[in-house]
This record gives sequence, structure tokens and C-alpha cells, in this order.
Amino acid sequence: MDNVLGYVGLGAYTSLVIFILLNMMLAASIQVVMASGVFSMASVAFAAIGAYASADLTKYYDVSLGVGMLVAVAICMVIAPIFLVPAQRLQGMYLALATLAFVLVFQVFALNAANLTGGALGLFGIPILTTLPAVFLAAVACAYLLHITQSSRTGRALRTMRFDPQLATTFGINLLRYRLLVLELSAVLGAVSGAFTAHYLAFISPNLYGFGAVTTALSMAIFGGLHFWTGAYLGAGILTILPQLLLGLAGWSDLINGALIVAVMVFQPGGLLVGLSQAARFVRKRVPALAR
Amino acid sequence: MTPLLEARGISVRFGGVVAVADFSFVVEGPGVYGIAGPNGSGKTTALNVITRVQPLQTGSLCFGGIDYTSWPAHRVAALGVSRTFQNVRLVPTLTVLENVMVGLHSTSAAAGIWGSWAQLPSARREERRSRERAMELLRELEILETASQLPSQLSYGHQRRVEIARAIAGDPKLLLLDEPTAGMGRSDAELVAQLVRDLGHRRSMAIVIVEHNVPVLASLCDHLVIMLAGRNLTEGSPAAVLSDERVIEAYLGTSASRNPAKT
Repeated sequence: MDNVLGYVGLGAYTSLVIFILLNMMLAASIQVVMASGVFSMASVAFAAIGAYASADLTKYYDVSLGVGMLVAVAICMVIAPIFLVPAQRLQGMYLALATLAFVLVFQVFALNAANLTGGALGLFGIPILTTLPAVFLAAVACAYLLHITQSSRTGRALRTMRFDPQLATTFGINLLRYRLLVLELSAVLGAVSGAFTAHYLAFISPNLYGFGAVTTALSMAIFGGLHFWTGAYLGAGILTILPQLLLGLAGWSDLINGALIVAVMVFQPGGLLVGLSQAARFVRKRVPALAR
Repeated sequence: MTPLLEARGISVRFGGVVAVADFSFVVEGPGVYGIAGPNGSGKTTALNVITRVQPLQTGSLCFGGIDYTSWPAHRVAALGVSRTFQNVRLVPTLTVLENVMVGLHSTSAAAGIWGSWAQLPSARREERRSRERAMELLRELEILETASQLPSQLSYGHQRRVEIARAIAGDPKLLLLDEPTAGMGRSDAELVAQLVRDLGHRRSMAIVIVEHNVPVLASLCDHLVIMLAGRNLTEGSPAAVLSDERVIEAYLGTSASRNPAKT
């Protein structure tokens, strides 16, 4: 095992880097829907479904990681349109609650469908197939997909929807179609992140995919900033590293972690990314050499 | 000839409140049309019905002979209908240029989502064309220097100009302006008035202006409709409408004191 992970030269940090990349995709799964005004927390359910699907397939049917991942993604993409029903009717917090309920319902399902999920004890002995290069490639591919989606005509439509759905409609933006698009993207990102996680931990259980996971993924996306995919990646990076840095502080680490999130929310509600771009604009104005 | 817009017998109720009752409005073709009426007479609701954002209880809507009464709102833009809003509605996280480009959404649909994902040359070309068109409009409205700013950095008058640029970006056949000069300073208001006259003359575009300020409207439009309590009160050339007894009554109160003999 050490040989597999050690060859990239990151040694002891390999595990941390993998978790950062996995969290980046999960946080992006939430960002991509939130940034278009669809307050869906379903990402965590997609991650759980992706994890169990790929784990079962590779463990019991001996399929490769690639096949397990594809089936996991396909299942989530089939489920995603279900969320159009609440998304077309509910807004903001109400939609968030409805999708959160779905996450919790799936958790209950995982607890009880023991022959598929191992029940409360969890699923053991999942083949360890996740490698750093594979996760890295997946994270880059997701970033590229998100970038061309969010910086194009589609991206303008999604941002318009978030702030003013009626305005979007007036200029010919089909809300249903774009909501389906972001839900599908969210499903793909969640499933990929979930499947890689299962094949890295070798063990998954229902309590990995409850309310705690929702708050973690959500705070990463909001901490970094919801406007653009880079916010989710930045937030996931920082909030994955931070607890590791604070590990020596024992009980204080949660407190400092929480306080930092609250501080960013209070002083920079748009997320860290907005703060950084404002700082960059400020520096460019003050230092003419950088302005070119 | 089929009229450009034909709205007949429109009624809208909000609970027990009747906002629009049996309202009819016909735009024959290019020109400047005005809808005036006191506050609360249903003018904005009428515009919302025409753009299908507001569901209607009764009535029919035709555009160039096409019945679109039951169409979803997002398809109306592709007919060639565009509008501005009474209060500025720009997307705060998009730059001024990008906000104007939102107005080109339905006319730049050729490459679509898949095209832009695959980074097809046609999608890139379209994006560049949209950008150039938006820049051209910003130049026309004398706010080119604000292109890369966020709407919040602009004055109110400039924000309204961005809204107008967005509305005319897709070269609509029917442009609906909801109180275009409300809250504007004189220079901004004059620019808008001049623009409306230019658009009416140069392009083959029908413009519908909603205003409660009748004198402003009368100076701009060729055909004026007065609404009162959600109904058509009267319509015709501005001069004829403004001398109508009922219009004066609607604006200045009952004529009982001026004309005690009335029964």
C-alpha cells in the first residue's frame, strides 16, 4: 500500500492531499447547485449512493474501479431529476430542508438495507483502488467541466437564475432545463467523490453520510464562496487542512475551526474568494506596476 | 395585416383583488405606444401578462398571429419581446457587460449548452459576437467605460441605462419599458427619451411605455392608452386622449365640484 501511495513523493501527506481533492469535488457538488439558486443538500446523498454502489460492485462482482464509478455516476444521474419536483416548487431554505430530508431518508435506508450496505455496522473490505493520480485527474476534469459551465453563456444564465428567477425567465432562460443541468452536475460530482472515498477508506457506514456531512460540505462551499467553482475548491482545501494543523490543540481545534468559519461569514459573507479578489483589486490599484 | 401584439379581454385577480379586468391592448406595428394610468391601475400587471410572467385568468395573447396565451414565459423572449423593469433588476455578481449579454441569451442559442461544453468554434464565435454587440450598445448609451464594473458601482441613472441596453440587445420586435424615467435625473431622463425616439424611428421596433406621468408619455408616443382600475378607459392620439373628460376626471378626481349638474 505504501508503495502505491508513496511513489508520487508526497509520503505522509498523500492521505491529506487525497482528502482535500475528495472534499473539493463534494464541496463543488453543493456549489454548482447553490450558485444557480437551487438550495440542494442532496450532494451528500449522491456521495453515499455513489460510495455504496461502487463499493458493492467492486466487492461482490469484481468489477474494476472504472466500471464501479461509471455505474455509481449513472445511478445518481437517474436519481437527480427527482429533485426537480421540489426545486420547481420550493425556494431557499424550504428546498434545503426538503433535500436534507432526502439525505436523512437515505441514511435510514442505509441503516436498514443490511444486505446492500452492511447496515449500522458498515461495509467492510471494500477494495482499495483509489490512487492519488486518479483522484487528481478526476478533480482537474471536474474543475474544467465546472469552469466552462460557469464562465460561459450558461454561467451567466445560472447566475441570473440565482438572483432573480423571474428576470431570467423574461430573457428566455428555461429554469427547468438549467435546474436539471446543475442537479445532474451535482450528482456526477457527488458520486465521483463518494466512490473514490469508499475505495480509499475501505470502510463506509451510514453515519458518514448524515447531517454532519451536510454541514461540512456546505461550510466548505460557503466558506470559499458560492459565486464560482474556485470558491468551493478553495474552501475545501482550507477546511480540510485546518483541522489537521489544529490537531495538537485537542478540544480547542473544533472551537477554532468553528470560530474561523463564523468570522469569515460575518466579515466576508460572499466567501473568502470575494475577499481575495477585492484584496487583489486593491493591491493592483495601489501598486501601478502590477496593473500593467 | 396581422397586428404585432393582440391582447384581448385580459383579466388577472390576486385573491379577491381584481388587478386587470377585461383589458385589451393592440400594437399594430412599429411605433411608440403608451399605457398611462394612476398608480395601482394595473399597468405593470398588464406588462407581466404580455411577457407571460403573470398567469392570466381570462383573455388571449397573440404575437404576429401566433397564439401564445398558454406558452411558458421563457419562450416569449424568442418571439422578440423584451422589457425593462420599474425598479432596476441587474444581476449583482455579473459585470455591466455580462448583464447586457444576458439580454442576448435567446438570440445566441445556436451552440447551446453542449456546444459551449465542447468549446466548439461556433460557440466561441457566438460568445465573441455577443460581447461585441454588448460593447456596441454600451457605447451607444454612453456607458462604455463601465463595462467591467459591477452594477453596484454605478449611479442609479447608469444602472437604468444598462437595463435598457440589455432589453434592446436582442433587437426585439416589441420593447416594453416600465416607467423608464422613474427616479432619474434630468440628463438621464432626456437621454432615455431621445433613445426611445431614435429607436422608434431607426429600427422597425414597437415600443410600449408604461408611465403614470402623462405629460412625459404624451410627448413620446404616437398612440396612448389610459388604464383605470384595470380597465381600458380610453385610447387614441395623445392630444385627443388628454382632452378627454374621463381622463381629466381620473387624474384630478371627480368632476362633481366642477360640474354640479352632472347626475
